[in-house]
Amino acid sequence: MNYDMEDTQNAAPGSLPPNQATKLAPRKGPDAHSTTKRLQTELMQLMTSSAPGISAFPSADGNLLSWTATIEGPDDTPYADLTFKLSFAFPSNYPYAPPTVLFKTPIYHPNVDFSGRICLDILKDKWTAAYNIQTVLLSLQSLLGEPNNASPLNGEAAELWDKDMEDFKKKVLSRHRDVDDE
Amino acid sequence: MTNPRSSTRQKRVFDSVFGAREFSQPTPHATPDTGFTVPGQRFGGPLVDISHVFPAPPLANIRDDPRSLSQEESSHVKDKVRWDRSWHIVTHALLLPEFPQNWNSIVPLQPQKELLDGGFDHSLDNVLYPQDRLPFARDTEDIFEWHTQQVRSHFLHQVLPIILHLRENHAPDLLVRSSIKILETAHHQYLHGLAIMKEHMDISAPGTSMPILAKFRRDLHAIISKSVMEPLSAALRRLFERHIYTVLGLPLTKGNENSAIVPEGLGSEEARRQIIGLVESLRNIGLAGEKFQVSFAEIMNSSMTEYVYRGCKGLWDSEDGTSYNNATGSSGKEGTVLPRTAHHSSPSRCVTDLCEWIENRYAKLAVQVLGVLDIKTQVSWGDKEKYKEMGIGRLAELRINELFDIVKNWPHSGGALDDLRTAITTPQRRLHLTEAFANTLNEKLLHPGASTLQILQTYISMIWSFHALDHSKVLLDRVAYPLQLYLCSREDTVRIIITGLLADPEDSQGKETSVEKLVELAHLLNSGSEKIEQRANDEDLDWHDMEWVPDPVDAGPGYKRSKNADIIGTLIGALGAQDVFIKEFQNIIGENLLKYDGGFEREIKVLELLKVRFGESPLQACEVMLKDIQDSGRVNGLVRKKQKLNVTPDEEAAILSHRAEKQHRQTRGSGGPNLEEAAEKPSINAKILSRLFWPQLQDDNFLVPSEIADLQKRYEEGFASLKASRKLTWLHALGQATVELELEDRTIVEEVHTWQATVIWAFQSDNEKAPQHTRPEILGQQTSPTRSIALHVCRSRDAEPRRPRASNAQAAASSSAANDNDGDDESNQLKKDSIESEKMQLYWQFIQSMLKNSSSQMPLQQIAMTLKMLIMDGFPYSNEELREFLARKVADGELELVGGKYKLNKK
Repeated sequence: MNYDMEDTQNAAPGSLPPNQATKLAPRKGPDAHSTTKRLQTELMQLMTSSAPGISAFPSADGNLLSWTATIEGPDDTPYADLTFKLSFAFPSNYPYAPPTVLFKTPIYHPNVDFSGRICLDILKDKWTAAYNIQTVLLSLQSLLGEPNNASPLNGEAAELWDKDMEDFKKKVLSRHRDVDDE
Repeated sequence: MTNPRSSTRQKRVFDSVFGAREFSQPTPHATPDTGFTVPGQRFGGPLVDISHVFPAPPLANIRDDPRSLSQEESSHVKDKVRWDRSWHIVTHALLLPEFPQNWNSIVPLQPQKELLDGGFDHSLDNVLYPQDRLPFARDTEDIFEWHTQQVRSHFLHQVLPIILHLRENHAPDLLVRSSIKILETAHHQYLHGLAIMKEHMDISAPGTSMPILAKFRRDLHAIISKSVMEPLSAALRRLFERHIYTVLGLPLTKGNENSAIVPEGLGSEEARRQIIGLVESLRNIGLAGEKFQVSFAEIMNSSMTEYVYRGCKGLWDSEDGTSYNNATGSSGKEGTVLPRTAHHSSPSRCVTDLCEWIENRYAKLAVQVLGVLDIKTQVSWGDKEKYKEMGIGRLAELRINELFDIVKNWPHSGGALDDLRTAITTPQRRLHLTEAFANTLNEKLLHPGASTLQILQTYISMIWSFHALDHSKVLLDRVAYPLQLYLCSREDTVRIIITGLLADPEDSQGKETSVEKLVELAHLLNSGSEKIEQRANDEDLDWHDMEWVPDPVDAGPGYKRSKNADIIGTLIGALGAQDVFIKEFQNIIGENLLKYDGGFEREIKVLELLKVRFGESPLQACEVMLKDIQDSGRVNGLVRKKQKLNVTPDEEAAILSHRAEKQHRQTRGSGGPNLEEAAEKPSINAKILSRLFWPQLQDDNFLVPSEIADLQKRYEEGFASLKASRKLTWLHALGQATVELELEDRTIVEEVHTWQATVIWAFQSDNEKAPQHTRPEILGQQTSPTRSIALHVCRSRDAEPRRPRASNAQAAASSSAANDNDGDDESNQLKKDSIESEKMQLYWQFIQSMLKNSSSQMPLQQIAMTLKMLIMDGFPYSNEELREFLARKVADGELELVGGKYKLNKK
């Protein structure tokens, strides 16, 4: 009698190869499905509890990973009564990585360069999955009123903000142009 | 061998490959012992004195005259002659006799030793050692080969047919015994001849006989087992099966579910002796070959499965097992009985039984039987450990198959879980367990036929059982995942859990309401909410924890140790979204708070529990709701006192109740009669709610009776004087009223909706004509008066209401407390309309945002498509309905329609 055989006999029949075992483990990693789901949920949140002055929506081409957002300039800032359009590009592992956010509307702001790139910590290294589109938009809105002049992308604007607010306002207005995507 | 034709063919094939071996048959007995014939004499003829006939050699030229042969030639001839003579003598003596037909009788062995004389011995020497004694004889043969051949043909022609014949007529038991007897007799006979030769050899050349004897035995056994084993194997197997089952205490009759394991006794001892005896005789006659060993192994194998099946199936209870364990535990015996791998703090009864059985009966038998057989692999006593592990493996397999029922039987299946826990020691088994269980779960539970309640109950049992099985929760996580997914797809899951939490445990024990409610949760909540507190400490490694074990090998990366089962936590966690849960909770306690009076201890308890889990802030609204109710009890008392609305508390009664709402506060009112004004007067009680914190409350417009309106007004005034900056807004529809209908023959006390009470009230105005005026009075709602009247009429079909005396009205501001179906339909209808408008509002948000951000102008088609794609619950309306909706917005001036495309109207 060969007892070496017994071990295999003893092993539960029908047991799976180990690679299938991993399938049983709860799915925790990010995948395309959970990203779209998250974005859909965020959209629903935006729709049901909209904050004043901000709105966002997926692009017309039906790609849920690319959105367009609108911020209205807060009152009592040089940007009052102006609206700014932004583009959001979500990575496939969102929300584990931040979206890429750009100003589409030309804006004169210490923390935004002339091609619309934004210097904001929560969009870079301070990003956590707890942030969402709404919080990003609210942060950007407050950034309009309170620029971070310590690390400007637009040095001239930062200087002007501190020295000559009137001139700054003029620059803002002259730079602002309504973009129409049509 | 049974088929003569096939055996002939077999032989032919065999011969064509290996060459046929010819053996000379023994010289016929009739051949006279004439010696070598003299030349000229006819061979075999009568002895003639040749000197008479041929006085001299007649032919001098006869060349082969032996006498004229050379010395060498003549010694050749001489040897050959002597060889032939010796061969004749020996083979003649050793010729096997006919096999006795009555094989039972003891036949004297042929040839009898005493009859053999010196001549035989001499001849045997010649035959055995022809090289030495007859160096010149040609064509000598091997006497052993001859004997073997003789035995073979004797066996095939005489013995085998008897056995085959027996097979047709005898029961297996008898057949085996008879066959063994026959074979033993034959064996005896066959060996006898050899024994004579052996004896001789031992004298003449000591030590040379053994290999020859062994070879003969081997050949003989090969012949026997090849020819006999096949016809006998079935009977042999049956016989052995019976005996083995007797020894092992297994019931012999198959299919009898209830027969239990027979304890060891005289019967099993007897059977054991029989088996050993049988095996011994089988070995002696050469039937204990590989085939027998295989079938023995098969029987043992199936008997182990059988034992596990018989002894453990359905035995899940650990009740009687505990005493057993204690007994063995105290005597220190379990340490020896259980295999090393199965050691566990509390070995279950089945496992202990199984191990004992294997040790005392199974392994003993196996070792004994295999000890009798001479096989190469030695099975020692130490192998019992392996048997035990195998047995436990079988048990695990059985339990895994039963697991679903075991889980359903919780908490009466602790023993079975102990078994499993002992058995699932390898990752493979754990994996198999979860695999098998998930399959059963899918088959038996996760289908539309099972109610959500049932699923949740099973889930709770699962949490308990799997926690008992494996504290680490790894197994549970694996099986619970599909269940959780499925539960999420059921709409009523959250509601059932919350109502379960809020259920009254005492109530359920009496009335068996567990069929509808998940009262288990309420029990849990009442018994062990403090357990949850210790969760926070689980995070850190406790250095004083002597029970610490490493994480299981198959734990996932997100694995977190948790010691308690935490049913409620798991259930709430399973449903993921906390906001869904909280919203539902809010709705339900809202209903409860408005519907009932009292301390609401359970609601508070559940709220506390949820606060621990979700944090304070998301549950703030609920807290405010509870506080509202508590406050309004006080305020209500004050107001009523102040406005002289009060009656003595024990006579407190109300007709109608209403809900009031103000900027912040809502009131729920109820009426009670003023005692002085007899029972005619209704009284009113209110609950004051903070509107912003309550879920959406439905209200209908209808005119409350003027008496009630007066009461409300007075109440309002009282409230205003109490809290100056606040104003009450009454929510008429949410109240509840207790009405007492005095009919001719009986009095009905009924708790009804306020609008129903209003209709009833209309009948109070003195005479039967009143109903005609109700409709204009009540206004607002077209359907409800009709329905309430229908209710009313159907309640009092026989008797026209004489003086419905509304006296005992207790109010509650609840939207779904109707006890008749009409009312329910009504409120559902109302709810639906408003939900739709609420949803439409959401869709409008979508459309606005879409036109603002993604594209400033869009055709209808695209809007519809985008909505369908992006709204998670789906967009249920057709393009036409959407077009209508958008057209309304265009008419309102919020949209523009330019060239078939919609765009936002820029203000």
